[in-house]
Amino acid sequence: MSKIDNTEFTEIFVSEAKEHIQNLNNALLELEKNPANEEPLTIIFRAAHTIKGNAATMGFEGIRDLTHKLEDVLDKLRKHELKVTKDIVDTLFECLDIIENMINNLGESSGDIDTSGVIQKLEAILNSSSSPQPQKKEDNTAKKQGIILTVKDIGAIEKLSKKTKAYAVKVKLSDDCQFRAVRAHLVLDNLKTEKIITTFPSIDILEKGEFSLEFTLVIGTAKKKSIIEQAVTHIAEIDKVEITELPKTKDSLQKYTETQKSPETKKELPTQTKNPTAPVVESVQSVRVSMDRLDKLMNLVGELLISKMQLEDIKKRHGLSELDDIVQTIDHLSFDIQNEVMDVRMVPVDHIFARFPRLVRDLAHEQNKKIELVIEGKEIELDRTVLDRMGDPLVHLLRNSIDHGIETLQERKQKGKPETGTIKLLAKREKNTVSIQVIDDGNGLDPAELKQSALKKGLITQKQADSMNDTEACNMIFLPGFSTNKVITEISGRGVGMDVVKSVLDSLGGQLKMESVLGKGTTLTMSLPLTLAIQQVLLINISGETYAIPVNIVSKTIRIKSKDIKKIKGREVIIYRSHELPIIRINRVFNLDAGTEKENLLVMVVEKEEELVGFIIDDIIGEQQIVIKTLGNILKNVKGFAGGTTLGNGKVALILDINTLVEIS
Amino acid sequence: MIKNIMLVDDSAFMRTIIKNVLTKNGYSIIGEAENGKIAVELYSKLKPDVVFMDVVMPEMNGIESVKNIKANDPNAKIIMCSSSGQQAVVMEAINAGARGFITKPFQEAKILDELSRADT
Repeated sequence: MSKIDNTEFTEIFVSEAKEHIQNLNNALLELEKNPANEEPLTIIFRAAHTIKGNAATMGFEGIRDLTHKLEDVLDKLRKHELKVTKDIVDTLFECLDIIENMINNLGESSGDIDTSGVIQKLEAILNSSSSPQPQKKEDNTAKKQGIILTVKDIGAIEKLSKKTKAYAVKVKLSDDCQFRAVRAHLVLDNLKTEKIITTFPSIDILEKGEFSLEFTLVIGTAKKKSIIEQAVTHIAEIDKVEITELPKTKDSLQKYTETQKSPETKKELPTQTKNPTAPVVESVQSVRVSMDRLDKLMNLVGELLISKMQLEDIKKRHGLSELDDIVQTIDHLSFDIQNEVMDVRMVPVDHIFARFPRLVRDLAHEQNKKIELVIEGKEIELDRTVLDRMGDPLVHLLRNSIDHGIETLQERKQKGKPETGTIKLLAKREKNTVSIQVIDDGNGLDPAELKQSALKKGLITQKQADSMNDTEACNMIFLPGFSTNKVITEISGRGVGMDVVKSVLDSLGGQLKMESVLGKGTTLTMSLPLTLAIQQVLLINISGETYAIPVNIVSKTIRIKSKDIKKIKGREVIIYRSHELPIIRINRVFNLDAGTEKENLLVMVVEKEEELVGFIIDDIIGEQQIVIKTLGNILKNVKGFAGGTTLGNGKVALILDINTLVEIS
Repeated sequence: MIKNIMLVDDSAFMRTIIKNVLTKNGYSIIGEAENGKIAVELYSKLKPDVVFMDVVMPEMNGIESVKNIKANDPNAKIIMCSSSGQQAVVMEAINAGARGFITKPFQEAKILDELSRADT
């Protein structure tokens, strides 16, 4: 019989299996914390069960076999034949990792993943349990079941009325029939209106399924042979039905009483899995759509927005008031579509947070530390693209907190801190951004040490070091070149790859802030845009060209006189709120024609990582939502721009990238 | 004539697999439910010709669901979808009124075979 061709379902299999692995991990963590709690076991069992079934359907035998063994162990745990021990939990975790690995490597060389080690461990666990796994016997009992009638049976046949005939109904199930007991039960059920005199083997054994593929019923019926045959073949997985009429006299029946009793074959079946009580987990009915298609949809929405702007432009230029209504309708519709599409792209941060409890547990175990991970706001949503890129930086930050932030048990005791360190992972929605914080109650950073190191590295001057506050000192770890300083990584523990974290944040247009109190702990705050594709910008005019700048980083625009600009150490600054504000003339950076120096200047004050920078611009055109397009290959390495966009008038505006602009000025 | 089918399984993957086989063979999937509770509600609304019902599900399992559906419609035709090792539960489902069963990994011929036999 042909298997279903399932290759096209691999994607859905994988994504569902990953969800189950995630649930398994979380439930296992819960079980480890509280072994007496039955609920995680139920969840674990069900998830493993589903993976097994799905893998078997897909023909992924490696995964099927491993989850099958896993299920055996889980079953024993559920039945209290095994106790939850650290060893078992560790093996189960290992098992999950391997299954996950196999799922991730399906396309390539899943066959190469060696499962024998973990299977051995699972088997060792199974064998250690109080009631050993029943040995499955080979099904070699294809011997025919003869009919051996007892005196009582013969008496029953003799007593049948004249119209009623006696039949031996011999049923053979198909070779691949899985639940013989159920099929036999169905046969009996379908014949329940007839008189069942006896069965071979006995009903008891039939209902237990402890027989080979054949069984025979002796019935009394007034119905035709063909009707009886139909009633039996009406059941699936029946290979053959043979119906023989039996004589009804004692003498003729005598030959069925011969004594060679066929050996009753007791074929033990593996332990039955009982239906677990279902916990209350509400799942949502949904359709899976690939990210590609969502990206395409987002692009189309972008084009729609641009067309809409063009239409508005035409309406304005030609004063076409008849278009007012339709333009307004299109405006509403495109706004709604855009919001819907953006919503669809949003996924809860739990998508990546969910794997962190396991990570923290493993790392803490490795280092003999006690750490509790507290996650808040896992339901907060972010654009899938943004979230995906945050995975690695977050792993990095958590690792740092565990490796270097949280102290050893002894150190914590000496400091009078609770033995168990806490790492909090918080997500919060703030207007158009989402902030993610990693807070630990570990040792924190030592600003003095950091300054020392930066001085040594030549990254700052003594004067800069003196004027720096603690927060500023801590934020130095994001400087490229700082983190590679070996002395610092050993002393403060922080810094490994921190500049990498920062560069991801930069590329996402996010912000990064570090606060640390020596001895008390560290708080790292990242703020991220909700989405990358569409942004609210200010359109500005510089030397007749239109540029866009993300609205969320512009703190203010101020008017100054050109004589207010002072030169300090070769840099132009103005005094703004009694601080020096560096001034950047974009027209000079881009070599644009500045014309004659104007007396009145417009300065846009922009926030750049807690610092302010002033940009001289000619004019503000307005605020607008734009669709960000990446720059082509030729322009992508040009510094100062984050991308481009098409405006309503069909012209292209470049989006300024403040970080690199400051660098190249 | 059996035409309209309802699928009950908490695994969207499994539903997709069965759906694919059935639609390819001219059956219509008129409803899908991901637990036994939704299935009971959906059954009385849609009155499908046949229900394919998973055994292990959250909220309400397959057996309870069969009992509930049968209580409302004694003629309901339900085929259980089970895994190896679930013989006892399937037996329970049959006693509760299920017509037949298929076992994972599902084979196209077996799905269709079981379905055709429900047609009486």
